[in-house]
Amino acid sequence: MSDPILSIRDMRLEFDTFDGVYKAIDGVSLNVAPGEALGLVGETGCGKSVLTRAAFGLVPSPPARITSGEVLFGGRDLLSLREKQLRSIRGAQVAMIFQDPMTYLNPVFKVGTQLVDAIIAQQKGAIARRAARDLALEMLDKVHLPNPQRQFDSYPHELSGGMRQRVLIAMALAAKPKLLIADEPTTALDVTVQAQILDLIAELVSELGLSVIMISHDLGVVAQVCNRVAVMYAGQIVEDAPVADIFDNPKHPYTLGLLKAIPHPLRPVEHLAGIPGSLPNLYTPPTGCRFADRCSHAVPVCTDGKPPLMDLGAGHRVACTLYRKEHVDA
Amino acid sequence: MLKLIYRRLLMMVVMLLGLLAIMFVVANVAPGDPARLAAGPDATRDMVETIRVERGLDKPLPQRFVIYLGSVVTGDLGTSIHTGRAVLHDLAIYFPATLELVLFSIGLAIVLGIPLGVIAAVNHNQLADHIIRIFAVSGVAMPMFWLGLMLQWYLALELNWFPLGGQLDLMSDPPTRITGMLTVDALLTGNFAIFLGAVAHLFLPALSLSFPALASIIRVNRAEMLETLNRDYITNARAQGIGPLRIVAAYALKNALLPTLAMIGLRFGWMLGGTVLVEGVFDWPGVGLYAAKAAISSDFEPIMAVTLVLGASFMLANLLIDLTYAALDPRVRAQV
Amino acid sequence: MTDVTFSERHESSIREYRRMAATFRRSSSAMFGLVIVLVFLLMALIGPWIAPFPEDALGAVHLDNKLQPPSAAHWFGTDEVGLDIFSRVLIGARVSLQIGLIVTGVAMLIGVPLGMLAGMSGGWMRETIMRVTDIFLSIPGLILAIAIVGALGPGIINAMIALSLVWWPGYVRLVEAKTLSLRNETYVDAARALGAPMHRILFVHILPNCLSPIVVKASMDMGMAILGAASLGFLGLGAQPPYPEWGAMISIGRNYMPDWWWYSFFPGLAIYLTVLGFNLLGDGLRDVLDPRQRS
Repeated sequence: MSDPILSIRDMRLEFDTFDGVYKAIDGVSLNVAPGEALGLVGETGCGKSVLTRAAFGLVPSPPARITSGEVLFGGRDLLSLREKQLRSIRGAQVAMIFQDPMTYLNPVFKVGTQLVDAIIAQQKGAIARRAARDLALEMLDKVHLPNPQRQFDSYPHELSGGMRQRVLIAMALAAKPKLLIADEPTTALDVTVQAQILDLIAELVSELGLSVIMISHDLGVVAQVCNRVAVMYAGQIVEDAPVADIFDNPKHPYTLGLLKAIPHPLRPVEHLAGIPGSLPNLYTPPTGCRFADRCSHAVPVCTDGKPPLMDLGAGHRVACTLYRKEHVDA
Repeated sequence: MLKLIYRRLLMMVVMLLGLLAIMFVVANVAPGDPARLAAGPDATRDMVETIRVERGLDKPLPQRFVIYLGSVVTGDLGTSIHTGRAVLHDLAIYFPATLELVLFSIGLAIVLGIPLGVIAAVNHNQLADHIIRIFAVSGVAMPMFWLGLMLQWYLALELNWFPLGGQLDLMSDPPTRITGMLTVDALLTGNFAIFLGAVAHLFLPALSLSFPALASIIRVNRAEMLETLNRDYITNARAQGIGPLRIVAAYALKNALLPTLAMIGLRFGWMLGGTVLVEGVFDWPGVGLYAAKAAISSDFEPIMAVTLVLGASFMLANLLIDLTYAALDPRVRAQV
Repeated sequence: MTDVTFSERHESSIREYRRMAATFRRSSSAMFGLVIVLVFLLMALIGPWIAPFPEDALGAVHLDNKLQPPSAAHWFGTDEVGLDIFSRVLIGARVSLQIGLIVTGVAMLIGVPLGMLAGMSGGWMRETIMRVTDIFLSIPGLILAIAIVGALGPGIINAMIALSLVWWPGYVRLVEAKTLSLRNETYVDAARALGAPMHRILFVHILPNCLSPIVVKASMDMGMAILGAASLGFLGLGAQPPYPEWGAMISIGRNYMPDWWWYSFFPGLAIYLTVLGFNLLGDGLRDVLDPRQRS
């Protein structure tokens, strides 16, 4: 395996809030290989969005505070960079698309203006306005937006949700970035539009050969685009495996729970298994496994200490006491 | 768009009619005998009755209102007791001065208020923000007339930075009267020294008049900027690598300006009303001072005329604000 | 039936009040406003008893003492007939409180019922009320007040009448909007469907829910009404000298600027602080009672 394009090592992040210190990310390590599409999956509030945003300096500090870790990208530790240097990486080398296309376009500027602005910023001003305009129209065409010329002169409120997400994807990919971070890109869309957008992302990823981190709470969505999946729970990675392994051979009880919660498309829904309980209180997180409270397989050792992420071979890693050497042997 | 303007202008006429009706009722249900007042203290009973019939004061109220409306439409706003001239003539003299003062004040409030609001929001919870916020919160409570007196005392009398009052130094000749606004007339006639003198005279009254409005513009703009800077589209713009100056000055400010604009429209009323107080302090020959003098001597026709003119100004200003709003916000524009 | 204690039965409301109190206490500006308002109320209540020269409030003359600068005996100096300005400012608080309460009270008494009526009735009734309200709001309040005083004649009573007459439309707007939004709530619909009489719907369902924004507005308006009355006093249209009203004091004092600056300085400071106090208090109350209304 070649050197990863992005490597997050032992990242910890806390929020100083009125009610105390909220430990949102706790010792997360994550690699993304060139050309790899990684799915980052977990419940709302598990820290998956914060993790990727914080890695590229998009979480305001204060209240956020990164207490340890490094984020290696293009041979540099992003956490040691200043805002100005980060800005030259964002947009140009790392592109992001977000959950709700309704709120990510500025309502009082034309779509075209925003695209051209973004392209000029991505290229650090090394592109003429006219050339940026041509590129913008080309990108609108590439994301299969009907009648690009007209949409270019439209305001965001004149576009549908799916069209806006296409605009945002066009904006993100205009700079030919190395890495695309797609944060729940289809959650806010209708189901039919969801499929179209996912197809578009898959198509563009293979065409442009970029790496992707796709954030979602929906394993089904991730499966359509990604070749590897990392499952996050309460600010930690609990399982990390090739996508086929996650579906065929899930290890962590939490992953199992997530899989059981997906309705089968053909069978009638008799009972959809939820996971009982809710996320632990992250102001005073449990010292042991954070899932132990809700886990049907929990044993007393589970609360003793944080289980490390163990390699089970074939690129499958899991953080669960059940797979500790001594347990497996016994 | 034109249709909207027509509709609004039509509504304005209706509102002004309503305003006149209310004023007319107030003037005529009040105790006191307008005929006696007009006749003067030494008039005999017969003289008072003659004036009553002459002025139609013996007719029933609705009929008198119609007669009054008729004369207003033909430009006859009555006669002022304390100046002894036709009210329309007085307004032509005094209104330009008030317009100049109010426009200068609103300009001052916008030019100072919007940047200060932005600075406070960008430096949220830092020293600059705290100072600006204290200023904004406390400024609304400032009595304009008292602030005017204090500014006059310190900046004009003690430090001698500004003239005490009036529109121009006694020594200088006013420019040819074209618009009646001295600064404009001075520029039109190319007299730059007079222009500077007129601006110096404008500054303190305008500052007093705009102070509470300035404070509330800062306040709203700061709050809106803070909210806008947390919006998703700003995160996206930052994720694209767009620089902070463009983000603050264009992407965020254009959105934050919309509610600020609504506040400016509202506070324009404070300024129009405040002319009555501030013009007296700075001896500014405008309709505010005119109305205040008229009110003291229960000289009602000038008061009604000033109310009408200031009401119309307020309505026009709000129409302008709404049109600007539509120009800034494509979502509103789509609806009109 | 039960041995549920008071604190158990009302547990959730008590917790809610505690939360409100905590929010309020955390805001230093709200607390500052509260302190100013309390000091002002205290001055209004016991001013005449703690004033060093209570007889100076009205009409006394000590010409040998005139226009003295601030000193240990006369903290704020004396005026042109030798009256102690500190005593007059202190006793003026009572006048201002009176004006604020009456103007705000009358405005509420007119505006709140009209607003509920407009919000509940619809049709020509609503149109009439709202259009008249619009006309009143289309002209700067101070101008209208001056016109009314001009018709009625100068004086503190007429000033209060004028201010009350221009103040109510704000309450109509506020209450009408709130009533309209409440009218379509499920529980109001349900009450109507069950045949509850109109007055019951109004007093049980609508009015209590309008209370928070009314309280917030009233607190702000106390300050603004005091400012309005002082403005009329300054113009010579409100309280007449030697009545110890702050605006009227400045109106005379300005003739003695700048050499006898204290004459108009201290009454103005009193107006400023009082209005500031009520504004800050209103702001704090809004954050506690009506957080969504912030803007």
